[in-house]
Amino acid sequence: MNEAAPAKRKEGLARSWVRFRKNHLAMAGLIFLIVITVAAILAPWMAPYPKDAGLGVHFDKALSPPGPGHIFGTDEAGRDIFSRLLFGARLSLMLAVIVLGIAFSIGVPLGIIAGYFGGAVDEIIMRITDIFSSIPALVMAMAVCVLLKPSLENSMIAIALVWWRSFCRLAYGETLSLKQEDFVTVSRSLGSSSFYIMFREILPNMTSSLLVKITLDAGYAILVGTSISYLGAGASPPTPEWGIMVAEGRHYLPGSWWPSLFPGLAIFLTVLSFNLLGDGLRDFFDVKVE
Amino acid sequence: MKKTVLLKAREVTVHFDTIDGTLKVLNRANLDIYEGEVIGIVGETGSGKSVMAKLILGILPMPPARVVSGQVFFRDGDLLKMSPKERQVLKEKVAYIPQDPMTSLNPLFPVGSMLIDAIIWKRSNRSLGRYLITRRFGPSRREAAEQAAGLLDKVHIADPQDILYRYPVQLSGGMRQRVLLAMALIGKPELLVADEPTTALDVTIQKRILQLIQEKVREEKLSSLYITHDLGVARSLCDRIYVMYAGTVVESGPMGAMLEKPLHPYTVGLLQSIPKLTGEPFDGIPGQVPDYIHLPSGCRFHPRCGEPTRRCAMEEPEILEVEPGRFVSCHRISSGI
Repeated sequence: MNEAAPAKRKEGLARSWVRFRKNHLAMAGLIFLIVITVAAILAPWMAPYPKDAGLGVHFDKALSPPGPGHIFGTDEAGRDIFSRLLFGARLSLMLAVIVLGIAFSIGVPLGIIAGYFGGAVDEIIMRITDIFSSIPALVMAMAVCVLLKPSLENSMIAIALVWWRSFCRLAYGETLSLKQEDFVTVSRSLGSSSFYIMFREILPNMTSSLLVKITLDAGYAILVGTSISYLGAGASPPTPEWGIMVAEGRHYLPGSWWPSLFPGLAIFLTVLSFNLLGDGLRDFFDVKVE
Repeated sequence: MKKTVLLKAREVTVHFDTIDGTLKVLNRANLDIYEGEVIGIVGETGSGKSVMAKLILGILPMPPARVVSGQVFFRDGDLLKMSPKERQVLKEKVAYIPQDPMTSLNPLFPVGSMLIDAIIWKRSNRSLGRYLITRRFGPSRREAAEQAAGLLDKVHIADPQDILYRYPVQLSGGMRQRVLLAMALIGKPELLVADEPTTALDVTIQKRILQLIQEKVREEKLSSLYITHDLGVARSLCDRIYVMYAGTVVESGPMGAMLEKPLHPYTVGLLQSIPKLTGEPFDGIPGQVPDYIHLPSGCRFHPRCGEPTRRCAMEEPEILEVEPGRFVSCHRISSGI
């Protein structure tokens, strides 16, 4: 036994991967998300009826149940639900990326600036985030959406506008504790500028918290996005948006259950996967994110 | 021979505004550092030593700290009246060695990257645009890496090229302290401030680090300021010492004279509190450093002083030069008891 050459100690990412793989739920979430991302990217080639994502209608096949040819059935206009789900995945993932991208780039710098400088700057920025926190996110997003004219793009902007404050809070809290660290003091004693300290000493140290938050929030952002579309303030038909698909399908319940069940399932599984992955990452990094 | 003053602090009073009230931490503290001199500040925990050092370094968080009065001259410029920009540039001239090397390096970056950043930042004349360009492109990145390796070599790190790319967790406390010393030397400093540089290290490393610091101080012709509560360390390093108690400098003077004939009762107490190897019980100073919000009236030391006079509780003692270069602030001395 001892004669055998010791296995090479894994370093860095490879090592982390071995540790992460042990969390089966998080792995399941990750795998599902990879599958759905690939499907979203390849939608035009993978979808059996790519034209159905747009204006194609086949009233002769309206509301045909799942079966050969249409594995998830067709909707009230005879469009293939599976094809539309694939294109819908693009919209949902894009929504998550854009919403979190905007929210991140507004919230994190503001949070760090507020936490680092303190005083009046802190008061002004954090009171503004308090105002945003005091309005229910969905209601606020819908109001903004309706104000801007309902469309998918506007719903993304609206959600981002209510989302940045939670990034701001997280970055603020982290900065408050990180700026007390000795390495920040040393950096200041070397004459580093505030800008350098904020974005090169402090920001990298909150990467893991931010990563966990992004993952957990991605699912939630998709949920809010689809809710807005469901309620009619977001994307408009015939966009293959999951929320709209559920909304349109609900008129044919319970007789024809497939037009609303499958998009609902897609939302459910995607959000669940993001949450599982986020929880897994949280345990992995051992950070506290609300 | 008249020496030039490098740093001169005059009657510095610093308060901290907190929710509980105002902490009157530094009280008219004076400090002089001449070129090439090694100064020690001794005193027990909470006596304001670090606040003094941080004020000189410009890393005292303000607020809550607030300079009420006084001046700190570095050469001819008053550090407390400078614009933030001037102050930042001057920080290069005052180097800092922190207390705890374990937490003083950013854990996410290889130690070299911090050295290289600082070197490039300096070379790009502190302009952000030029810094970003140089950091990514430009041949000077490699030059900066070489210069960083040179600095590590100066502090006797074997194989500096390799250490540049190590993360702080991969280095021992002694190594990290060396890296920090190398960082301090980047800007060709004139004054080195070491805040208890060896308290976090084990005894065998302590001596080596102290020797290294001394060696660099001589080589680079630095003046230096040691903050310590270890009189043994102070004795082996310093030319002059300042004894601080509760934010006041109670006594200052040349090292030898102070140890032979301490004048202030607090200094006497400090010297008596050194454990003796013979194992006989040693005397301490009863009580503890006062609460900075509710300070005793008059001399801040009088409640713990063995023989306070009536005046001690009523008025603050003035600073008295008993011999050239020897200052004491005590009523018993000034009234000749």
